[in-house]
Amino acid sequence: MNNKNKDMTWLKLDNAALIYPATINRKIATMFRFTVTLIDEVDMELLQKALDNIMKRFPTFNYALKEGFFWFYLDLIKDSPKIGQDYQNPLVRINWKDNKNYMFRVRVHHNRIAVEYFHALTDGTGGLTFILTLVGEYIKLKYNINYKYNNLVLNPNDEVLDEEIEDSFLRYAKKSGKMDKEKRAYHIKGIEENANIINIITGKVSISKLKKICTKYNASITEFLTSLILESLEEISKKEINCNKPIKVSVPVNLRKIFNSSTMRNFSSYVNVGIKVDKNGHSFEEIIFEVKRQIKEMTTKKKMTEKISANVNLAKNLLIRIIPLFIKKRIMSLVENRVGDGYVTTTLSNIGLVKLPKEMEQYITDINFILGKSKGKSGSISAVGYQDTLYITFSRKIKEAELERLFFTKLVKMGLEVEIESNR
Amino acid sequence: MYCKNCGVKLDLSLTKCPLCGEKVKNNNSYNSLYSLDIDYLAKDISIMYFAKLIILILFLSTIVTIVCNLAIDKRISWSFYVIFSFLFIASHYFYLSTSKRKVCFIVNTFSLELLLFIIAYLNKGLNWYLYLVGPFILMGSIFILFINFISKFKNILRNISYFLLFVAIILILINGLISLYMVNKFILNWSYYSLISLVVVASILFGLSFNKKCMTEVEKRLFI
Repeated sequence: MNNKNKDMTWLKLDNAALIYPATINRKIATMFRFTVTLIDEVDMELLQKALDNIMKRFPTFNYALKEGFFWFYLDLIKDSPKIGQDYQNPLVRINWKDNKNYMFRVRVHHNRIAVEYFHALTDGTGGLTFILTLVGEYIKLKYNINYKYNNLVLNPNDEVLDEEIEDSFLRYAKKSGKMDKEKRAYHIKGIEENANIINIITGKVSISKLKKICTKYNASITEFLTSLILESLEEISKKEINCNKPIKVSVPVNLRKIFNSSTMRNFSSYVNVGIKVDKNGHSFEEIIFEVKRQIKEMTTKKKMTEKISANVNLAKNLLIRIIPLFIKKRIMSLVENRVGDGYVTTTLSNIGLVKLPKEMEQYITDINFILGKSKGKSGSISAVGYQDTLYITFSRKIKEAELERLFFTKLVKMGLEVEIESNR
Repeated sequence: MYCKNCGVKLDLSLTKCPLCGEKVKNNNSYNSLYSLDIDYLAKDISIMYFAKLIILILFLSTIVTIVCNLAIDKRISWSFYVIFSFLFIASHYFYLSTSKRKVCFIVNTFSLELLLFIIAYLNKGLNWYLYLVGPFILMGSIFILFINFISKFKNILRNISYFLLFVAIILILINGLISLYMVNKFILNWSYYSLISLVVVASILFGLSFNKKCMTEVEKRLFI
């Protein structure tokens, strides 16, 4: 079936995206951001041209979020997005009107190109593919080079596949699903900053050196980082009196790697990895053993199918469908506060190593990935690897940087050199 | 530059360690990674939010008025005006909360009618309301709805002829209602002249509207 035959003037939200619009408030919308730093100052006009060139390759990015009577939907925008300047405090809630109703925005500061996405539009993989395709097109226009396209840098002139605009959740969901029962998790307390402010700290670590340490523990980088975060969180929670809630880190899972899909819309889930707090504390080896076991157990294809099926079936439930949106979104917002953010202490989203065509790599010095604020959590952690550097970014809405300090000093004590960048 | 507490290497743009707050001397205070400009949350206040706020404030002040009234007079007397004025303003919330403008318009017309009726009733001026104010507001709103309705048809000449006929009917009603109020009888006098002239013009235009050549000429000059 060719997508040209379909009515594309409006779309339904994909299953994972349903929750995000409902949880928006005046101050916070679930957002994330990718940045790519180039060797030269960015030419805004050329970048605008590159953006115009690639928009037709990403048809699902051309939609605005609208409210129907029962559900939110995506409405086609007959306009083109404009590039703006970047700010010290990124990821401030998108104001739809100022942004021509687009759910993403492209911003530039000197050598750095940033794209910020509202999560209902796409997930990390979709967002990364979009910014890299944009940067690829820009480099092609500016330096007049040719390179071989790959799965992250798409050819803007290629035909859009049906698969890229589909809601893959619907394809892989089965009739019955099951959600795991969970307990409320520990939350870091702190003094909340002004609504505009987000504190960002990025630590740059050598991947090859980090891998050597990981092999010592026989763990992957994600497992190692999760364990180190849990260890730091345990130290913080111990200072509180009578803290008996478990510490949990939510680790997003890219479902494209488990199921066969190349959609540009949301297709990710998560697993909540955690430890119970006890008086004696855990050794790092104990934590890493527990993390490895839990991740292995929860990321099986069977478990993931159960999880997405439960979500899809919930959205298909007639009783839920007939509730008008203005009531439904309040319920969803309450549920998300309790279930989504309530069950986890923080999030660690590791997008993995970014592999670019060699001709492109010489023009790109850094790639970074930052998660925005959320209502219930004090902060989030994200990681992305490029060449030999792993960029571990902590974003938080509170003043205290205790978790960051513990985490990075632990890395330093393990013998790694950590280079710190910050927006404050 | 390294932080002596944490042991981490600090970017050249940093003047203090973001982890522990330790100050460091950096020659290069220029931050090439993040802009100095600060982004702000949505600059325009949401209209709905503002409307809710105003309604809440008015609601509270209405309650205060009722309490004062009860304390002074031991019954609700003059605060009736405040209560109904508040209800009238609150009914405008429909305008903002739905995109169905026509429904809002009708709701607002009736709430205005109700407000004026209550004022007239409390002042024992029902005569003045029933013959003049009430019907006039109703006619005005129907007139606006009618224009909205005929504007959907494309034939301009026919629209004008409908419009003129409607004006003629309204003039008759105005004439009759005024006489009803003055002498308690439905008498028509001056509206005959307007009726005849308007009907004549309207029927000529209606006839011309079937002439295609004439229509294109008119459309060329009168399109909106």
